[in-house]
Amino acid sequence: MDDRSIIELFFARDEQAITQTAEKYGKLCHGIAKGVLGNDQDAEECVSDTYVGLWNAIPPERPEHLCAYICRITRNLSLKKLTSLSRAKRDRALTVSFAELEEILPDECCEGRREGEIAEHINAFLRTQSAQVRNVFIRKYFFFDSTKEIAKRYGFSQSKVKSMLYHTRQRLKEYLKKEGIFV
Amino acid sequence: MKIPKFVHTLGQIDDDLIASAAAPTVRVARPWAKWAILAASLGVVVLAGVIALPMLLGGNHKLPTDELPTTEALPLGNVVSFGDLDRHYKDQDVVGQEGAFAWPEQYKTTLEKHHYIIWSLREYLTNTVPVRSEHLGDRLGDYLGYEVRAIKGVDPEQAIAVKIDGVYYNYRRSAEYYSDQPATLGELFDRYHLSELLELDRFSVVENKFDVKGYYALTDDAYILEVLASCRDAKMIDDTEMRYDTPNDYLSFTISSDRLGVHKVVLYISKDGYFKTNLFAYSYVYEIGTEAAGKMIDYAMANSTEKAAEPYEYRLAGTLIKVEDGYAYIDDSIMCTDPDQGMIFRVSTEDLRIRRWLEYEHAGVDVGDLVVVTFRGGIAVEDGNLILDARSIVEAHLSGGDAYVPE
Repeated sequence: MDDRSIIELFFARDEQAITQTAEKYGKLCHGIAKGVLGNDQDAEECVSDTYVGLWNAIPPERPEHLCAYICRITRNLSLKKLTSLSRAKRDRALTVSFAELEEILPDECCEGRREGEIAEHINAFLRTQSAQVRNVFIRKYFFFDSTKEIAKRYGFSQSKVKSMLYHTRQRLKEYLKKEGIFV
Repeated sequence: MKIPKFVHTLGQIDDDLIASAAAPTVRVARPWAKWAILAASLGVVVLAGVIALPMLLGGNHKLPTDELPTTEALPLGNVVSFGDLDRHYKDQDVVGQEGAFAWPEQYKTTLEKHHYIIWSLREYLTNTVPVRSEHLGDRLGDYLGYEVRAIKGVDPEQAIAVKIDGVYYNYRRSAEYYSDQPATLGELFDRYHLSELLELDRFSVVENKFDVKGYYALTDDAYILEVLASCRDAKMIDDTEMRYDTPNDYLSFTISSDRLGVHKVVLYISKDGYFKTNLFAYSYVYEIGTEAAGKMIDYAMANSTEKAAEPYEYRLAGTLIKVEDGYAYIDDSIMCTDPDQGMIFRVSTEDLRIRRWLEYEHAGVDVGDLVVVTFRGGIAVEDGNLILDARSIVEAHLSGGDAYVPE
């Protein structure tokens, strides 16, 4: 079902909205959540919370890009859950190393910035990259796909994916330095 | 665990970039496995067939005599068919980026800008299926200056034809028009006049959920429609748990209908007695019983001829060599088992769906790129290999290997 029809179901308060969302985006959301949380059970909870979040948000929200909207909710919920689970000292097997991201931009560089300022620079940077490089980066750091999953998705070797990610991180770091973000 | 702020910042990547990365990737068909198995099983017989092949196909098909296959290794390559045109391609995958683009307003087609319309106080949406001229009915009025016509045999409350950019497109009522789903198969048929509008032609036989055993064309669908009519009281199954998502053994009919406004949607008749379709963007499942299902399956197998598979859409890969005089030219030599047999195809850039990929700076398609053209209309070989009804032209790459990514 196309996204507009799904949104119309939400507006009609038809529970088919959740069914159709689950059919179209359930696997994608589960992938994101599992990439962060490391297991199916926690991922399932997150995905269920995503659906509740959607039901409560639409209406009045009418997202222009439903896929991105849903993925963002799942991502945020997963990171929130990760924080609370970490406080409870439960072991997490993470797909992504946060350390490699902190290398790009340490927390202290984010202090005192206008909300959204750094995101603007990241988006501008990503648009200067080829679609292939950009998508690999987004699959890894937004969707939390594993290197193996990305390699399979695009038909690359894992070493090629790692190489692409490494070089993209270095270029992003240089870009942020030039923009005065990374000091 | 402390999550770096940067991780959260990456959550603010623009929607269109996320959508693009989330979009399914496109792979050009890879029939080599089928040919390898066929060749291995036929042995010497295939050897003779391979020698004969160039004579049968004509044109520039040649096999170097010092590379004639033995019974051990049969490098037949892949035969990729675009309707009546066969191409012999290397055994490699081409991965293209599917175009889930959020186009700026100036790059949206008229149809995309009017995906939904309100006409006569009712909301309709389109699947971009053109309505054939012989199915156009009386003029009903105008929508924002676009002519609206009835579709013969279809209630205008269900669907209408709207003329946009010279083509009449089927617009169907939106989902919320119907406050309830048809509780029986009879109600489904009545609501959408399927007894008059449904045409069953091509189908595949599937076992163990995904194992396709063959593709067929039905000679006459009257008996099957008759059996379905006898199942009017078949109850709808609430499939919220997706238990009937993919049956084990079934016939899968592919339905394209300009009056229904659908392009290659599926209708299953499963051996265990279920009728399932996504004809109207909903998954409708009805329990018709094993007897009725058996009758239809037996009839279909006895009254059909085997056919080649037809893809949902065709995809042609090649190098974009130039853009001039209103066309983009694609050379498929890089795909060919014998590059000397490469052909040059052309696709009109007058169509905004193609032109925007070449013009919009973020779409990333440039001369010299490997590209994949998606199209539905076939290739007019007699007209300079013109690709018909092209939908997109996206950047692609050859997959596999440890290719170094240059800085």
